[in-house]
Amino acid sequence: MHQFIPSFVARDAIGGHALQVQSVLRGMGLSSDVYVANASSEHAAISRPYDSYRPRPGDWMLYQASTGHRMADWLLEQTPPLLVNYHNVTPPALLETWEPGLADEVAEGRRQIGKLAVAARHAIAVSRYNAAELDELGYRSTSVVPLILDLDAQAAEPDRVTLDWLARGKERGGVDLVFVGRIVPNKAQHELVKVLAAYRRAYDPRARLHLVGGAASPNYLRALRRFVGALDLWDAVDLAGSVSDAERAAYYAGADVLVCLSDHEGFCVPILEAMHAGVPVVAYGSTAIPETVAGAGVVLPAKTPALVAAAVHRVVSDSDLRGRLVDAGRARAEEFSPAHTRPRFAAAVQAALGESG
Amino acid sequence: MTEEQSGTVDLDKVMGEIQEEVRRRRAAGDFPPSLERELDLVFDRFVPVGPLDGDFGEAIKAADRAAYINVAVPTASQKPGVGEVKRVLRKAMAWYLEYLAQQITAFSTSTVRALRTLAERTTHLEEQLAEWRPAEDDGRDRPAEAPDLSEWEQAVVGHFSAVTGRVLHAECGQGAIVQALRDAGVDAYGVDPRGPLVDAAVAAGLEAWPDDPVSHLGAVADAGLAGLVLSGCVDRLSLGRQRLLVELAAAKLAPGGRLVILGVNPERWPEAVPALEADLAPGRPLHAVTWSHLLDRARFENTTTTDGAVMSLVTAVRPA
Repeated sequence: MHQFIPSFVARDAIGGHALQVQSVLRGMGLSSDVYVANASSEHAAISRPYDSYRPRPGDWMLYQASTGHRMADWLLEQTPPLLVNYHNVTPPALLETWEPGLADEVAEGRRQIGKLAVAARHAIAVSRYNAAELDELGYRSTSVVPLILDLDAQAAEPDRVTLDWLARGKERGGVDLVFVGRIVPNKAQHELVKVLAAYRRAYDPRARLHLVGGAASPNYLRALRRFVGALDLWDAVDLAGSVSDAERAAYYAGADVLVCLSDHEGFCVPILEAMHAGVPVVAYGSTAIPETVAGAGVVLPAKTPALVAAAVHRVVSDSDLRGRLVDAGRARAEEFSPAHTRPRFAAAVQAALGESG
Repeated sequence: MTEEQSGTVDLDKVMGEIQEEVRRRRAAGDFPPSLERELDLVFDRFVPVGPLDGDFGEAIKAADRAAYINVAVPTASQKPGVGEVKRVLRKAMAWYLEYLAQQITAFSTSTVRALRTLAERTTHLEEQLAEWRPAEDDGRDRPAEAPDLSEWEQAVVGHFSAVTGRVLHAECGQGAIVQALRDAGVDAYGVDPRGPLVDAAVAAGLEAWPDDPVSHLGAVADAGLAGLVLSGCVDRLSLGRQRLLVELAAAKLAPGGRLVILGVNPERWPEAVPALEADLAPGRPLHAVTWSHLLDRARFENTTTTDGAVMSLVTAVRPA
């Protein structure tokens, strides 16, 4: 069973998942290679161009679906049976104002997910939310297996320079809010800036916000910078950009709370990373987020700045609640350890193979 | 609160307390009612496509949204069994609808992309034009000096002696020509963008309005004028606006209506107007022969030109 991934890159949740899946499949005695359209230098040696694939009798294809790519149309022309591992695709409406080209890409991606329903023997969704979308698209059978994350293995030693810098900020007072994710409109980082403004006004004028993640939308990043400037929050908002594993670990180590106000998440890995790192979570309950948090963090019914600011204040100021959330978060993160998720993925694959006789 | 973490944290209770905290803070003025709205307004300033960006951008967005053909027909139904029938039908027809939808989507997406490319090119062109297009001068900031048209008063009055109906003088300055026309029994009025000159004309008992000549002429009813005198503005407008003036004159003059253009000779222009006005003017005066040519092309008749020391007089008549 060979995997097909449009973009196979390091420090990417789906890339890490694909490596875990390859290990699971090989552990089941299946031959498993990774075929890609693009690969980062770290992954180039362990992957092959997808158009070099030649089907062999008994082959299965497993498509890691997370965006639009002509690879999906190409897969429909191939003869081996197809499995789809669905990570969700951002609805174009959330991007079209900011990045029309990107919106075109995801619109194509969602169309392709619909087309694959006819060909796919089975689909494995990383959340129940995603599975519901597949059911609506007419997939004949679906199962839910979370992303396979080895949070213990990927937990790097926190970067010393970043830690020291964060510590110097703490010495001046004020709490540190953090969010990890690409700078894109559907992640709604601008809503986090609004929350910071409200929080500083009502609770803590020295509070800081760290937005960790590279920019996937230059237009949105530009607007975000201007917004921060217009609110005179330059010294309080840290647009950290793309960071190394060690730097990300430092941000988690220095954070008082992870706040997530995304409008669309098919899973949301940073929530689990924060829980694993002992950072309490406050999140807006959109799409798959309530399912991922599952009671181990504060999930809000709305993201008005006042409500989120009050929730953040409660979490950072109530030490008993904070301790309970940290414990619950660690337990929740453990539920996603490979020891739990790898057998579930293997069982889903086995069931799909069995169904096909 | 979910089964996974029950017994660890009573999140429903915490949520209730957070909402109570918000109410308390709002009452205390920490979260004023306008806070969220103000933050929204600040951010909206930086959103690239807003409601004020014009219909073209909105139209492309709408086309973009419509370009995606979703063949996943909703199958939910409140009637027992109907949902299942719908799902079977959708699956059975999927191969057919997908084939059509793929072609329609490809066409729509290509069309929208072409439109977007066109929009980008147009924007680029507009930006380039803006770099070398002189600023339009509506005349309001020019020195409030009355132009000396005294040597032309009799010639102008003579041209309108047989006219019955309204005659407009744009730009009228302090109204010397208007006064002369009224003295001759002509129903004349004037417009000028320079407020102090208009005030002086009104104080002298004349009908005069502070207005831009081109805008005013554009607002006049077609064939609503029996006569038109153009001066001042004709010397400084860009060529495009000068040609527009001729087109407007043709449209606003009634059949048989008479036109006078009093323009500075281009060779004398530097000494006829202040240096500041000459340097910043979007355009330059035209030779009388050029006005005559433009009027002929606009189907005016009986065009004549008379050159003076500094200015020239061009007259013409709309065909009856």
